[in-house]
Order: sequence, then C-alpha cells, then structure tokens
Amino acid sequence: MRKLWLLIPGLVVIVALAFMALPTGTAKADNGPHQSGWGVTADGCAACHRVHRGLNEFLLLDEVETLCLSCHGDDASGSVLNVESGSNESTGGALRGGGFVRARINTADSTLSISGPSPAESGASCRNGVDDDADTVVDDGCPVTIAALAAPGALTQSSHSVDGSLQTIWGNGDIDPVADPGLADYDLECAKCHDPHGTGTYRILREIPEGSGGGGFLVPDTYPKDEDTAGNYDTANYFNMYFGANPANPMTEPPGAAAGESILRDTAMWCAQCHTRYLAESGTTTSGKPPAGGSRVDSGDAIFTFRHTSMGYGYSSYGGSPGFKYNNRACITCHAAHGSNATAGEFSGPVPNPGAAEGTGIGAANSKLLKMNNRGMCQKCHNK
Amino acid sequence: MCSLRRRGKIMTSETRPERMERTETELQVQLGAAGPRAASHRARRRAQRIQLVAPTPDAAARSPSMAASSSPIAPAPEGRGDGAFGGGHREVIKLRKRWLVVPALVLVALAFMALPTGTARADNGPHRAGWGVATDGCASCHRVHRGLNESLLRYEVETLCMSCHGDDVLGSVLNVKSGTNESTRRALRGGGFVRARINTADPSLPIPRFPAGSGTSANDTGVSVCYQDGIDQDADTVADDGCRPLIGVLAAPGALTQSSHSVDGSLQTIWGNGEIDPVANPGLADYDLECGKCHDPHGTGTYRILREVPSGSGGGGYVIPDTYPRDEDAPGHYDRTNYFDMTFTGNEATDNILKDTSAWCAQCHTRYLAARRAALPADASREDSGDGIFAFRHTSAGWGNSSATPPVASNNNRACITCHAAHGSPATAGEFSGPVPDPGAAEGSGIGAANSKLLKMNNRGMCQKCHNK
Repeated sequence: MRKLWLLIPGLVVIVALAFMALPTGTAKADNGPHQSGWGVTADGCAACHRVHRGLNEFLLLDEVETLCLSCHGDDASGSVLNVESGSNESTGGALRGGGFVRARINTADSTLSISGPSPAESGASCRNGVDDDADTVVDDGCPVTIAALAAPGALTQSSHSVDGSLQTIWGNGDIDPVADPGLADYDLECAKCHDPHGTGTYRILREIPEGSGGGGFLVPDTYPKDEDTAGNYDTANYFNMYFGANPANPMTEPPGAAAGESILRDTAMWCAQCHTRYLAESGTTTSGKPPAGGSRVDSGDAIFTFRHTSMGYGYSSYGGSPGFKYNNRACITCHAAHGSNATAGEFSGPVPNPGAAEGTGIGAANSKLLKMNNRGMCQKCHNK
Repeated sequence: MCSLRRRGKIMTSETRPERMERTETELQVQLGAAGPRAASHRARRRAQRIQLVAPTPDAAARSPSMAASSSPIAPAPEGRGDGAFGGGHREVIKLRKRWLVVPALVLVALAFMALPTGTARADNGPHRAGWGVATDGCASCHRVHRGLNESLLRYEVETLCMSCHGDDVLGSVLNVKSGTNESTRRALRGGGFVRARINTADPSLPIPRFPAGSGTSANDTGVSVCYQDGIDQDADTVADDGCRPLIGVLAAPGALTQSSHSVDGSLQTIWGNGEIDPVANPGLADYDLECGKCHDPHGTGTYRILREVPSGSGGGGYVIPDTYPRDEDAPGHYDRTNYFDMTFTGNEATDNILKDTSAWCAQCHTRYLAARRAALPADASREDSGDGIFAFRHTSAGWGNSSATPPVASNNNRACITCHAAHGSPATAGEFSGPVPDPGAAEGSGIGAANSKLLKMNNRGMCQKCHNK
C-alpha cells in the first residue's frame, strides 16, 4: 500500500512531463506513420499493407485514396490535416494547398495593388481606407491578399484527380514541334507525389513523382514552420509571395539559384517534373538563356510556345540592377496544389485543354486550380 | 535337501557348510584327474577364489593384496542359510563376468566415440524408412487391438511425439518444445512450440552499398556472406555496406512462443488452402493439425521426414530431398546461428531449400505461393490472381523471372521460411499488426500481441530486414 502511494503520483508526474515535453501545434510533413527511418521493429507497415492478400500491386489493404483519406479526410482521427476540406483540424487554419472536396480560398478577394507616391503604406495602416502617409492616395503600396474563408469554405471546382482514374499530365515531355499535349493515361494518386513512408523532404514530396519521367528534385524540409511562412501548412493569405531571404539577390550565375532559398522556385522546379513544358525562366534571349527555358520567347514547342514566367527565378532588370534574381512568379503563386473553389466565367470557362479544340472547356469548373475566380489572378498583379 | 528351480537354475536347500564340504571334495577329485602340475595350478586358483570369500590366514600371508582385496562382499553372517560359500560362488562368477564385461563396455564406448557427434538426422531413432522383416518399432507407438484412436496409437499424437521431442525427455536431442538441440545446445531452425530462441528484436538492418548506385562498390568483407561486424573493410567510409542483416539467436531457454502451428489436433483453418476463387474463401476449415500430418514418423528419407503430401491437405505432392549439406548452419542442419536464412543458389534448375520448402508449404497454404512474373496470374506475385481474398501476393516461391525477353528464371531469397518459423516464434505484434485480421475476417479482429503469424521479428520487422523504410 505504501509503495502504491509513492508509485501513482510518480507515474502521473512522469507521464505529464513527457507529454509537456512534446512539441505542440507543429504539424510536420514527416509525422505520424510518415517518418523515414522506421527502425528495426517497425509496425506501421501493417497499417496499410497486407503481404499475402493485398488489394493492388503495392499489397495495400485498400485503394490509395481511401487509405490516405482514412486519416486525412473528413471525420477521420488519424491526422489534423484534413485535405478533403482544406482545414487544419487542430489550429482551425486553412490549408495552403486548398482541398479536394471543399476549399477555404476567398476566390473573390477584393484587394488589388494600389500605386501611389512613396512611401507605401504598410502594416496596420494598410487596407484601412485611410491615407495614412498623406500622399493623396489611400492605401497605396499595400500588399495584395487572397484571404482565407471561414470553415467549411466552399465546394471545390477544380482539383488534381487522386482517385487513380486515367488522366493526362498536361505539358509532360520535351519541347516538341509536333503537337503533343502531354502524357496520357496516367493514374494519378496521392502516393505518386507524396511518399507515405516518409522522405525527410518538404511535404514528404517524392524526389521524382512516380511515372513522371522527371529528372528528380528535392525540396528540402528546411523552411520555417512559423505561421504563414513557407513551411507552415496553414495560411491566412493565399497570395503569399514569400520567396525567402536571398542574401545575394540579385545573383550572378553561376552559382545561380539553390534549393532551400525560395519555396516558390523550389516548388516550381518540382511541379515541372510532371508539367515539364510549363516551366519558364524569366528573361529574354538577351539574357543568354536558351529559348526553350525562357518565358515570353518562342520555345519551339507546337503547343507550349510562349509561356508566362513560372520558375520563380530568372533574369530581371527590376529595381534598376539587372541580374539573376528570385521572383514572385511561380506555380503556387497562382494555383492551389490540391484543389480550389474558384469558378471560371464566360470567357475562361470554354478555354480548352492543351491541344483540344477551342470552346471545349468544361465551363464553370474549368478554373484550373487557380486561386481567384475567372482571371482574377491576373489582376492581382496586372490590375488592368 | 530339495531342489528348487529359479530362473532356470537348480537351487538346493543344502546348507553352506555342506556345500563347502562338497566343493572341497570335488576339488580334490579334479586335482587328481588333471595331473599334478595342472592340478596344482587349478588348485591354487580355485583356492584363491575360495579365499576371496573367506580368506585364511595362510592365504593372506601368501598374498597380502589378495587378502586386502579379497572380496567386495563380506562373508555371510553366521546362521544365514545361503552361507559364505554359496555367496562366494556367485561372487566368483560375478568377478569373472566383470572382467569380461569391463572390456566389452570399453569397446562399446569406443564404438560410440567413433560416431559423428552433433549431427541429428531426420531419419533417426525409430524414424527410419525400411524397417525390415522383423521390425519391432511398431510396438513403441501402436496397440493393434486397443488403440486410442483411428491410427491405433497408444496415446495422442502430440503426447507421443513429445515423449521424445519434448522437455526433459531422453528419446531425442531435438527438443521442439523449447526449440533447442539438447546435444549441441544450439537453437532449432523451426523455432519451438512452447519456447523459441529467435531474437525477434535483432537490431541489424540492410546498409546500402556506398556510393549509392555504384555497381562497383563491394560488400565490406569481399566474400559472399557478410555478417555485420562494424568494420569498414572496403574503406569506403561506410561500415558494413552491402552486408546482409541478421536475426540472431537467444540464449537458452529463449522466450515464450507467441504464435505457432497448432499441433494438438484441435480444429484449425488452413489459410489459403484451395484453388483461386473469386468468391471469398479463407481456406480449409476444421482441420485437425497434428505433428504426424506433416512429418511421417515411420521415416521417409526426405528432408525432416516431411510427407510428400501433408495428410488431408489436398496437395499434389512435393518431395524435398534429404540431400542438403548438414554442415553447421547449412540448409540441412537442424540448428541455426542466424535465423535470417537467405540461402539460395543458382538458377531455377538447381537445388534451393527456400524454393523447396515454399513448394511444400503451399500444399496446405496453396494461394500464398507466388513467383515473380510467373506465366499465370494465379501463380504470380504483385498481379491480380483473381482470388476474392488472396488477390495480390508478395513473392514467396523462392524463385522468379527477370524482366528480360525471354525472361530468365532464377532462385531468389523471398520464400516462406525467409520470414516465418515453421514451428513457432516468440515474436509479438504491435499496435498496427496486432489487429490485422485472419483472411476473410473483419478488419481489426486480430488477436493482439500474439498475432505475429510465426514471423521471426516483432511487429513488421521482417519487412524492414529488406525494405528498411
């Protein structure tokens, strides 16, 4: 009896201290069962695999999407990252990649860039409707936003298909003077992009998306995970122009850009392992870049001839100092990786898929995972 | 005086003094008939034998040593009917026999010493094929007119087998209860039914060759077998790169067996037994598995006296020849120092214990058998077999085909006994593996920690021995 009186409080204290020592509120890509280095008596294999009676060639106990959503779906308790509804069930924040069924992107966010004399308004002075700097222009220079909707958000209109049905990887493959839309009959699933065994990379993204033919790109999991910074799963502003603090911006090439310095550039390089011919580095032939890699120059491809800058990096004379710099024009600047609730309009709805006949677009759902309705993404920068 | 017959000998009721007097008389007659010299010799020897029972002072004086070691049996006390002489006669006889017996025993001992040591063979003891015309071994197990069961056995099968192969029994050194060879003190390959000596938490994992992808990087030891020793022998900055992982052996008595083949005759299900079936069919139910269903106690000349067809399995027959080398740790040897048995050789045509045992196991667990790129989906791994439960299977046949055209068949290291112990294992199942159900059962219905399915590592450690995620 005496020993029990000592033992019980001791156990309580020890267990409580152990829990208190755990990091709180930080979701990491390698987490739960998705941690590389499973150890000698790993048990997580049995969560998904059946060695002698699998459902598919990977010996899984269920389809990939079903398995993933059993933890990452609605009403699932395995993970706080609900990719079906685009929400972090722990913090209540909106997931950066949107969602496959619902998304919380304010695709009608009204903020536009406002030009005015220096200095620009900032911080608490921004978007308050007051000419805080008394330069006759209200809220001039304030950052543009795409705010997050309150949960549960809105129905997703366009998304990456992850149910294993056959799709086309648009733009996959080398520059081709003969019209080639991309790689057809590709069965995209969650695990084609993400490695559930854990990789130690950003979002446990595979070095090469399976079946893409990509040359490999590692996005390091070294970005800060503070709220709204690149590494964090949640965001309050989908128009997050974070592209890192490059100490040598502008740079001279070589050495050029490096992984881990700009999340925009890194993710663009990774996405281009599938959507190869969408990748375009800013600059012109005057920069010495070959046309095939440059934006706004003739790539030589029959379909993807001239492309908008999308690499998040390139040659620029912006700011009066020409050189190679990181920039804010990348894949995830405009598109949500999982799915968006943006709708397409009268002109954008009929836009066809690459290589298809004009007017064959599917209508309102033809938003191509953009973060704004119609062509609102263009206006966030160009403000015509 | 009357005569009694006891054990074929005529015994008289004469007293001991009467017998002594008679013997003396007979001796005198013999001495006279044999001649003086022989008589003298014989008399001397006879006198010595008598004196061994009751030495006379004269005899003691002639031979002090004889007097000192005169008889291990003291003269009979006065009054005892048997008398010193009768007892002395038997002592004489016993002594003579002893002088014969001792050398004979020595010869027998030498004969045993000449036998090879540490080698237990499947066909051994009473388990020898070809019992001969006047065999007697049947009676050790059978009662023709009063058997206990349909096989006319004296006892239940498990009881009979354990009477030699169990704990604290003398019949065999192969203790399958505790998974130990009682002679060599090493661990048995198949594990054990009550205790097993498999180190189910062995910490070794495969270490990729360095540099990654280099076709020229060698195993650290430079030999075909490498057991991790922590030394960077090929000086490429990575110790033990390319070395196979281990599953070591626990010291006796090992650990309690968690999962095993049930051999008590209770009704079980042979999981996966039967043909490919699009309708969910877990296997053959109500099968009373016993030792004798797999092993033929009459001897077969096969590996581990395994039956060609496990009784009642419906199998098509597979003979595993008992020709594998029996060197220590070789496939034919009973004992192990490393349970991660990756032995395989050559191409499909050559012998391979992994392939052989898989083909044999599959006579019961039919639909578990799968070979890489086999011609038919029903036989192929990682292809849809068409079965309602065993749709996609991990390679288990111990051989497979390459991706070349035409494909090249070769043995490989993925077979039943690579991962599973045949008798029983102390491995435990964990949070995710414990609830894994039996084939066809509801998810989450697994029995918990004991749900290790005779795997050689805890949880899914067997996966990690190759895949190392």
